Amino acid sequence: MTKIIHLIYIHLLSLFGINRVVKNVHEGESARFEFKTILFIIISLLYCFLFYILLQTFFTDGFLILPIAFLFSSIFCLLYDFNQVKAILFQAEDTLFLFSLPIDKKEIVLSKLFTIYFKNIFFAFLFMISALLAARFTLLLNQTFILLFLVMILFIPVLPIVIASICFYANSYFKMHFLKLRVALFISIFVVLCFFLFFILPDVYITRSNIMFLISKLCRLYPISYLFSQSLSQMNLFLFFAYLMIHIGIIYLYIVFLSFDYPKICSVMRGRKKKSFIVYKKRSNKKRFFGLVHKELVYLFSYSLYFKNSYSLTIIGSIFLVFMFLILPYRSYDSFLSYFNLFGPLVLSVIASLGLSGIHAFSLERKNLDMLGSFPVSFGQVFFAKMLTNFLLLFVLILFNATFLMLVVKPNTFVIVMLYVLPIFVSLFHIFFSLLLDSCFIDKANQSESAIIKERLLPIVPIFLSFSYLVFPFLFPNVLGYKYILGSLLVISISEIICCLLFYFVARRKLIRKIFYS
Amino acid sequence: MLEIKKYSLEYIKGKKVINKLNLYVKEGDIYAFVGRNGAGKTSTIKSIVGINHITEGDILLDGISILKQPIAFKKRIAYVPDTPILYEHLTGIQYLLFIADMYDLTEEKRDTMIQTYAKTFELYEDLNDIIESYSHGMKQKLVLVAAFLHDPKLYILDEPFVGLDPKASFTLKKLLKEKAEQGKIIFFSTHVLEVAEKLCNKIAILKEGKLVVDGEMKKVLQEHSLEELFMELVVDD
Repeated sequence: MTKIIHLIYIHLLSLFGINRVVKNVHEGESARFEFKTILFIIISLLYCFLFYILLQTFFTDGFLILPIAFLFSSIFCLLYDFNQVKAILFQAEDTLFLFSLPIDKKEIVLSKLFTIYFKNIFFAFLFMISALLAARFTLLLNQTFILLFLVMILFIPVLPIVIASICFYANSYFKMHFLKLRVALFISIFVVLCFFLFFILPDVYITRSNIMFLISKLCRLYPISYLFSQSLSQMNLFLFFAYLMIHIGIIYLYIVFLSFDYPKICSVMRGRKKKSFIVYKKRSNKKRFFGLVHKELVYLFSYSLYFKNSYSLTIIGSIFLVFMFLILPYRSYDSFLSYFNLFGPLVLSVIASLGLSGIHAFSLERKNLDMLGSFPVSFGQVFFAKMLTNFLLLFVLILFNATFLMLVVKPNTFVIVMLYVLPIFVSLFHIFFSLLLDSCFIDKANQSESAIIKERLLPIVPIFLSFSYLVFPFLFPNVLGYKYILGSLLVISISEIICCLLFYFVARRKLIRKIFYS
Repeated sequence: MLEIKKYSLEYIKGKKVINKLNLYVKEGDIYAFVGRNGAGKTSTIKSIVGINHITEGDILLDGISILKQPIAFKKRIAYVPDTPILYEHLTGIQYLLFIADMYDLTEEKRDTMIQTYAKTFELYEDLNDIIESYSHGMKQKLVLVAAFLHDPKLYILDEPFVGLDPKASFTLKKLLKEKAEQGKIIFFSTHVLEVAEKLCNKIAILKEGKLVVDGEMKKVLQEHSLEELFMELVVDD
């Protein structure tokens, strides 16, 4: 028993920088709390305040607020755990070391689950207390109620942890053994979602009461949430104990199941998979250029952080656009529709230009630029391969957004053409400009603080440029009309591309020296 | 034939790192390029492969200049850097296919070469793994496999034996000898003088950017060992 306590203690020390804070306090530097920890707490409290305001504004029934918060906390924990189970439970660096110590497998599993649990319980408490505060006027708050409520919060993270770890394991298993099936599954989910968004949801008249009905239905559908709300509303101890026993039973069975073959599962998850056949891809006749494009694409998709960093703003923008039209009741506002009927291409251009892959494309290559320099490829091939790759992904999003707006807003022919053409030219300019910017300011050898700061500040320039397009309509007198504004923007973006091309040809030699020479 | 003609290199104007270096390496030669740290070996190698500028002079391979026809020159060479430079997020096979694309290999030749050399270096089984998970030695092997893929005329290797296990080192030495017998040029820098002495038929010793020794290994050494000669010529105290 002492071993498990020690294990949990060791794991807990790493939570939220506690160990460093404790060390600072021990060394008499109590004022020096970890900046990250403080920031984390402030942001969490801000989110909770937002959650509190939202619940208080939209819902009046206290016994609806609590299960909604319960459901929300469970979903939040589940999403959070998808990352945590990988890092803590399956692929942690210390797991192999722990196996070499005389500790029972169940104890190792339990200590790791506890670490994830403690991270979850922090969020669960914050959200549930916010919900309790929002519902305080409509509930009869007595000591028994609060006691039951607090005890039940303690069990919120249990199911999300179990579900997340099973999902993560299943996903990894499919990734290793049935990659094609997994891809097919994701594509079918995406297609079903698109079908739902495009054809079914627009026909449902979305009102506040409909949303409330949907949410309350969801809360009832999730049996644990239903059990939670029923135990509190009826103050039923039988239901309360049923709630506790279900959680305890599930977690016990899960620990027994997981610890049965835990070392093997961990080793599989850490990549010791069975050897598969080498697959040689077919090659095109365009060889080097498309070889470079292929490498860029593979690299972009295999380096998830780079991908997220590059396209998250554009993807979020696109999702937000769809969300605005389909979910929010704004759909009925004529002014909103008429704005997109006129300036839809402008908004799409801003969304498309938020793709930031170009700004890191060369600097991320680092030492690989030396290898690229030694290959029989020209600077132009490398540069334009990067440009094409970055554009291809944005092009897919542009097509999606433009088609969506065309179907929903039903604009005139001029705007339909502009919906496709304007974002394409604007994004082409942005990628070109970002690549030039990156190649001009790249600092291969120098890794000093100023070089790092310079690298981090560089993306601000294209982001600032993107948002500056939104000011465009205000720069022209109203009498000129939207056609004039959109046309001018198109001419400007084409001119900008020409300027970039001229700069590229003038500065080519200098850029080659900067990029390829050590 | 590799010709380095009056090659000079300056990073700061007026401060020559390499001063009018002349070197001629014939087909079938295994040329060792040795010198102390900072003597200019890696700088010279980087200029040969086109990733360092050339302040003065020229470098030619079979009459093709790196300055005038860089693409044609680079098609005929393979470069192995001192530390393996790789795209860590790709798998081994993805990296090799990319390299094959860069050198315009046909599908048939590419697949055969990958199989041959990956199996020679005992890396074939690991080619589906992400490079990030490779050990230093495996990364070095992958760079070597990539270098042999397009069967180049000139092999430029910067410290190629670092990180290799004894078996892989032996395999590499054997392969280099075979390539030299086939009329290829091997040009490599090393700090392991015993390897240079046993493997190479020619040697160049660089000191502060200037050649102090250049010629046939046997003639240069006479009755000395390479280590003794190196200490005598390069080390001041």
